[in-house]
Amino acid sequence: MLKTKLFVFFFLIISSFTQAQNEHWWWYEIHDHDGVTPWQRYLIMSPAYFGPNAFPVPDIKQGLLQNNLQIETALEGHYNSHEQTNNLFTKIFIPLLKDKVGIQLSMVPIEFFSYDTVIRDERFSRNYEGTGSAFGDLYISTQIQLLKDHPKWPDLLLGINLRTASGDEFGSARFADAPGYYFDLSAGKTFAFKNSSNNSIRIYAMLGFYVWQTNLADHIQDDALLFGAGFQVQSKSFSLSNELGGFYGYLNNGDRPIVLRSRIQSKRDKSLNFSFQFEHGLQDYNFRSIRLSLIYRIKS
Amino acid sequence: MKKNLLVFFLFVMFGQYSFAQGTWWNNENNWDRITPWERYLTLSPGYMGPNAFPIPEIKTGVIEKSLTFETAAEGHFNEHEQTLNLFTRLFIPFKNKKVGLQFFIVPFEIYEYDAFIRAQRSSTDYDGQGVATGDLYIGTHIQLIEEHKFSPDILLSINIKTASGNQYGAARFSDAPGYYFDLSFGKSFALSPETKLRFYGMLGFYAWQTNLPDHFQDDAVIYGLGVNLELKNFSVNQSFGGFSGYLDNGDHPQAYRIDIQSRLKSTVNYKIRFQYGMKDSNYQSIRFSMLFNLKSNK
Repeated sequence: MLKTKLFVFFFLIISSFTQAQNEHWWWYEIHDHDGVTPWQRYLIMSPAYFGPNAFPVPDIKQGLLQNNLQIETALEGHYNSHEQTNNLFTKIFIPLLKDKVGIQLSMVPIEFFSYDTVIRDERFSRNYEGTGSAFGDLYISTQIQLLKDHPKWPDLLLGINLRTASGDEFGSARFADAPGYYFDLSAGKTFAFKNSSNNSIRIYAMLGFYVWQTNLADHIQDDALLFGAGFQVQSKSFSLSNELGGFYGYLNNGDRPIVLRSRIQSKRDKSLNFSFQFEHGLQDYNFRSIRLSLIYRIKS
Repeated sequence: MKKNLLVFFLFVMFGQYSFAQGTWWNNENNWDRITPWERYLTLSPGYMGPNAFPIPEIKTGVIEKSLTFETAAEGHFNEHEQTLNLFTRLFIPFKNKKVGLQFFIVPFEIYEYDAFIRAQRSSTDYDGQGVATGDLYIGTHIQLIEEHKFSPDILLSINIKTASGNQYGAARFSDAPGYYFDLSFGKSFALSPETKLRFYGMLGFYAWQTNLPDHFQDDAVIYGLGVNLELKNFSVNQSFGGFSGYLDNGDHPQAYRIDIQSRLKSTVNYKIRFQYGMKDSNYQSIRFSMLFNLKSNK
């Protein structure tokens, strides 16, 4: 009797262990796993095969450094027919030398995601249900004003940007768990409308170079050309900007996202302002996104 | 006869192809015939060249005040390896003397190591000798506190290690980005009108990409302590520092450094450094630098 109990006990222990080992058996079946390659190597480290916050198209800068300490906190949503992501977004800009140098930190503190089996299998995700929450990557950026208010030349701003690997949920294809960096040079010039001192239009463009780590043995990095252009109409009480931007990686594995962005922002003479942004992904970034922001400006 | 010749030709071709695939490397590393060779290399200071994961400078808590260009000749030696390289550094302070940008790189190194190192590092360089270009490092330095009555000076730096280096197969540079943040503290004490003693320490966090599927990054604590004696015409700076990674795969380098630098009032100054590596940095290194103070921001 004791022997039978012992046998049942060991059987239960072994079967529960096997179950834990095979928790992702479905994944190995769906993807015809070769029995050798670690599952992490199956995921494709590019914007098209990860969540919308893993490889966002960088802000298209306008060639001009902000003057004041500014904190932005936002609610954001990214949608398509197979996936929805809702997240917080925070950004802080700290001027270090007025009109010359500043540092910017930004991140998605939390996102809630939900995607169907099409997305799950396309991205080699190990998240069977396709739902959950994730913590994002911290971006740290040093911005340097190279030229400003020149009579002929446009304003010029250099950005040196680091993408840390602080994000989690790599197995769900939410964040890449890999560092990256990008450098950008933006140029912009403002033109005042005739007979109007308060209204103006600013034309701007940006070019840069973006590098991030992949999980491919023979192409350890993906290198991309970063680009963007836009215009901003400024009135007394609000500004409206429209821009097109993206990057163009050399691996051609979903690493060529392009987006259209429109943003309207209040210009109240107070510390609190509001902005609303709509983003339409055109290529390798199949999301329609909205962002509602509160912007606190602390005048220095 | 014609058929035999064809078979012989194909045999020779196939044999040459197999050789080109790197038979010696396959044997030396017991290649499993599946895993790409790139995965055999260990991305840590203990298993790469001396310039792949250098121990960051132990900063003194205070930002440099002048636009400085440093160019140096450097050598790293142990019984199995020798590396000779150039080193260049540019520091650009901004006008308020609170913020600065630093760039440094090993423009090229000439290396030579024996079969022991080659096998230990799973290097694909059969001869163990060649030339490599290094990684560019970009740092932003921010002075948080300076010349406070009680508090030490505090300097924050945010640094990117780019992946510009080459010769990954020869285990010279890691072909992987990384970043580190450090906070340094320092306080000077005047011993006489022209003599000062400065004590300093640094703590930080270093992360770099590996090639391991279950540990994409190695994370390390950076640490260091030092003392700098400033005299009228020269300074003697001694520091001890390193970093300690969590993978324990050769990621615990330490080094003792002593720098003697002239303090001439001319544009050019000179520095000699001796570095004694410990634990996972098994090199004795020497560096001769020329420092050009191009402009002093007043």
